This record gives sequence, structure tokens and C-alpha cells, in this order.
Amino acid sequence: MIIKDSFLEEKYYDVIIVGAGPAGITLANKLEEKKFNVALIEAGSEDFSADSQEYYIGENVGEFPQETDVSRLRMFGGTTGHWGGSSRPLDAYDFNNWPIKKKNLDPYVEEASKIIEVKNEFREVPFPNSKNLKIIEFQVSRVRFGEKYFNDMKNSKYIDLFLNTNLLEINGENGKFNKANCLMNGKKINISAKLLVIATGGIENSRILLLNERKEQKLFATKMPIGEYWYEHPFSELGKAIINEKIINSYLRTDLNHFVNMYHTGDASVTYSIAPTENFIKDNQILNSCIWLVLHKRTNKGWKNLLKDLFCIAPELSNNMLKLIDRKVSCGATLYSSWEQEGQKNNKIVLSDKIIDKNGYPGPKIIYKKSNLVKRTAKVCVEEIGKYLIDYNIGRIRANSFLFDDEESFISGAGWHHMGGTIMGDNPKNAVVDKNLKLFGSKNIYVAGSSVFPSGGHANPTITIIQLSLRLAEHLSKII
Amino acid sequence: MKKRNFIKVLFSIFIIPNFLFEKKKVIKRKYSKNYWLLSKNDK
Ligand SMILES: Cc1cc2nc3c(=O)[nH]c(=O)nc-3n(C[C@H](O)[C@H](O)[C@H](O)COP(=O)(O)OP(=O)(O)OC[C@H]3O[C@@H](n4cnc5c(N)ncnc54)[C@H](O)[C@@H]3O)c2cc1C
Repeated sequence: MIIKDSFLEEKYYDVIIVGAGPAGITLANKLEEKKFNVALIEAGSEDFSADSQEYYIGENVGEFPQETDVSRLRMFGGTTGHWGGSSRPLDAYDFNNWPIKKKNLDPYVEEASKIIEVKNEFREVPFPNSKNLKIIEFQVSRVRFGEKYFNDMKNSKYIDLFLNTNLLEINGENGKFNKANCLMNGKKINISAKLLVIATGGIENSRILLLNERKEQKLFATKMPIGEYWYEHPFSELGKAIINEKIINSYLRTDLNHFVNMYHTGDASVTYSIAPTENFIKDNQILNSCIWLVLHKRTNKGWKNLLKDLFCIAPELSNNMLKLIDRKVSCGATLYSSWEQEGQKNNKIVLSDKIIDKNGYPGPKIIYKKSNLVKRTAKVCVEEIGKYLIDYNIGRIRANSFLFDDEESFISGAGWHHMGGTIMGDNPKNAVVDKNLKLFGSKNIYVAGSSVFPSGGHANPTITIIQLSLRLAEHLSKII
Repeated sequence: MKKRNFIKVLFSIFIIPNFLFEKKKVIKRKYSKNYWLLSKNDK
């Protein structure tokens, strides 16, 4: 049922979940199946509003390219209100520094796929005759959690959905949470429960803990790296190419014939996602990565400029390629990549001393810089693809200058994927939550969402967020 | 044989004797800002 104005403070819930994005909604639905009473507290309303988004304003220091109030949505359904839906679980080797492994999340991938209404098919095939590259498959979800689940929440017997209700403070004593102090439509209320789960997204999870860190009540361990090891997926165009479309299409499309058209730029027609293999990553000591080779439509005449450039340094090759383009065998292409960034202590969310939100609390400040390893990863992967194209004579790449010019500043976009800040680990010196997502030093406060990922590979995070929420629901069901 | 399969077979004939290919070193050649990744035989 939806709680909008009046509310009985005496009601005692089994669980309070703060945040109704995919992390919070998945958890609430699973707990409802087990007939637990849940208060789902959502700061926004059913619809998007500029007024609500204003609470999300933050500060950026360093290289982070996106504003904090546009890279997430403060409304029921969370950021999936405008997500792209690309989905793929993490690779086994992305879990190297996690206290749990891929096998601990695999049991939830089928159900997570059902929730986002995609096939549980995330195949990969080796790149023909290459030990270093593989082709990987993404599924694209069209589910918006807000639209999909609003009516279910309205009619739910066990979930009370509080809209326009902003968590302000967490209260309790001796490591035990008991009350969530919230502002509901401008009115202060207290909501009580046995357990609290914070599921407010990859920036807010850190901010809420930072805001509650200095309390005398000692709700959780002190000196944890809250906000630290925060990272994104750098996203960038890495270069252009002339590609033998016939060979690429016939060979690559046959094995994964419903391969998703990942990247819908104006001119994208067919796209394949290429990734380095585990051994290649290890041998070259790079991060995980994913590169889309987006073949241009014939109407895109970008190849003309490419061949003109090439003519000045390799005229014969340029002429041969021109012939292949005329015979409609080859075409132009663009290489885009979204890849891993390692968590680093100095990349972090802290509380801003400039931005104060409309409730009077400091906004988030993102301090962010990419390491040389991030740039080297992109360079090594492009070189490997370039080498493959040369070895089999199926194309040539013109790589963007920032990959090779050390003095050129490396500016990249980001994948809209906020990860880290409350990372999972074995002890509170270098992590914030344990393998069951419980805050170190707390008896009953949990965190859900990508802020708990110690590393995020290259894959879009939401399906992993959902897998983790399903696992958390199972854990909480046993202890409530 | 369907055209697609034919091309696939054709391509595999070329691509299977992998060891016959001389693995070419990639050379980088800068032209007005960006870098072409070429083989040393590219003329
Ligand atoms: C443009 C864009 C494209 C994306 N594309 C993809 C993609 O293709 N694939 C993919 O996997 N991911 C994608 N993402 C990321 C994806 O949207 C997030 O990973 C996902 O929504 C995170 O889920 P969450 O529940 O942890 O957080 P959110 O979805 O952000 O939900 C958090 C919720 O908490 C609420 N909240 C915040 N603070 C409070 C408070 N104090 N009190 C009460 N409630 C609060 C918010 O209103 C919100 O509803 C994209 C994101 C963007 C912005």
C-alpha cells in the first residue's frame, strides 16, 4: 500500500528499506514473498520532478565528467527510469578481490534475468583463432522498475511504500539501529523496524553513512573507508577503422546470430562487443574491458576522410581499401569502449562544504581521477584488435591520439555506473560491509547496491545489483 | 549452400591454417594527430 500523508508511528516493521530503485524494490518484493512487513522509503514520488532532482545536486572535483543530479534519478523506480538496460553479469575473474565469488551469485542470475525480462543468455565465444580476444553477449532490458512495480506496491499487503519520504538520520544505540528519522512531505516522522537496509544508489549510500558517521550512538564501526574506493566505468571512443564487413559479418554473426545491437548511435547498424580473455588480462596486467566495433551504414561517408588520411602514409593500402568499399565489401567503423576502473582510496565521495541540500544536509562531493592503468588498458586492447585485423587482413584501425600521446590529457566519459564507496570485504580496515552486506560494527544495518562492489569489471552493474539483493533477501529471511 | 555458410566456410579455410600466417608486428604511424595501426608491409 502507498503511504502518502498519515502514518501510524507505532507500527513496527520487520525491515525498512531506504530507496526504491532496482536494489530496494527487488529486496522488498522478495521479503514480501516470505510475508515480512516492509517499509519501503522513497525520497521521490511516482514521477520525475525537477524539484526532487535538486536534492541530488553535488560537487565534482577532478576528472569526473557527469553532474550528480543528472546521472541518477530521485523517484520511484530509481535510476532505471532512464537507464539503457544493457545487462551482463560480471566475469568470474572480476571477483578476485571480493569476499564472495561468482559461484555465490550464479544461483540468482536466472531470477534476476526474469525480473529485468531478458533471456538468461550471456554467451561468449572465442574470437576466431585468437587466444586473446573473445566476443561477448549482452542482453538489453526494457524494464523500468517504476512502471513495472508501482501497481504491485499499491496493492501489496506486506509492503508499505512511503513516497516523498527522505531518510534524514539513522537512530539507535550500541550498534543497534531502531528508528529511521525521515521527512515525509515536509513533516518529520520516525519509522521503526528490526532491520534497516540502505539502498539509495551508488553515491547516496556513501553520503548517508558519512552523514551518520559522527554520531555518539556508534551505530557502526568507526574509521571505515566510507566513500572511498569509488569508481565508474570510463567510456570513450578509442578510434575509427576500415573493416572488411563481409568477413566480420559472416564469421562473427554466425555463432551469436541474435547478437545485440548494443550501441544505437545514429549510424550504428551492426555492433559486436569484443573483450580481452582472462589470460590476456593477466599476461598484460591490465583491467577488464569491452569494446564495440560499430560498423557504419553506407550512408556514413566518414570512411572517405579515413582513406584520405591513410593515403598520405600508405597509398597502396588506401587504394585497395577504396576498391573494397566500392565493391561494398568493406566499410567504416568506430571503436567505443567501456572498461574497468580500479577502486582507489583517493577516489572517493566526501561531504561537500559548498553544497547544502534543501533539508540542510551537505551534498556529496566526488573526488575522482583515472590512473595510468586505465589508459594503458584501453591502449593494449586497441593494439590487440589492430594486430588481429592486420594478421587476418580484415581491416586497419586509426587509434585516437590520447592513447599514445603521454602528454595529452585523457578525457573520457563515464558509464553512468556509480560503484564502490561502501565496499564489501573481510574487515573494517579496508571495507565497509561484510560478505552478507552488513555494516561492520552494526547489529542490524545493511547496504544494497553497486556501492558494495569491491571491483566492477566492465559489465553494466544492475543485474549484479539485483543478484546481490536476491541473495540479501535470502540471508535476511533466515535472521529476521 | 547458403551464401552465409559459404562465406563462413571460405573464411575458415583462410583462417584455420593460423600457423601459416606470419604474425606481423603492429607499427604505429601518426598522421595529423591520430595513429594508424599498420603492418610494416603496408605501403
Ligand atoms: C543514463 C543512464 C544509463 C544507464 N544504463 C545502464 C545500463 O544500460 N545497464 C545497467 O546495468 N545500468 C545502467 N545504468 C545504471 C543503473 O541505472 C543503476 O545501476 C541502477 O539504477 C542502480 O540501482 P539502485 O537501486 O542501487 O539505485 P537507484 O536506481 O539510483 O535508486 C536509488 C533510489 O533511492 C532513492 N533515495 C535516494 N536517497 C534517498 C533518501 N535519503 N531517502 C529515501 N530514498 C532515497 C532514490 O530516489 C532512488 O529511487 C544507467 C544509469 C544512467 C543514469
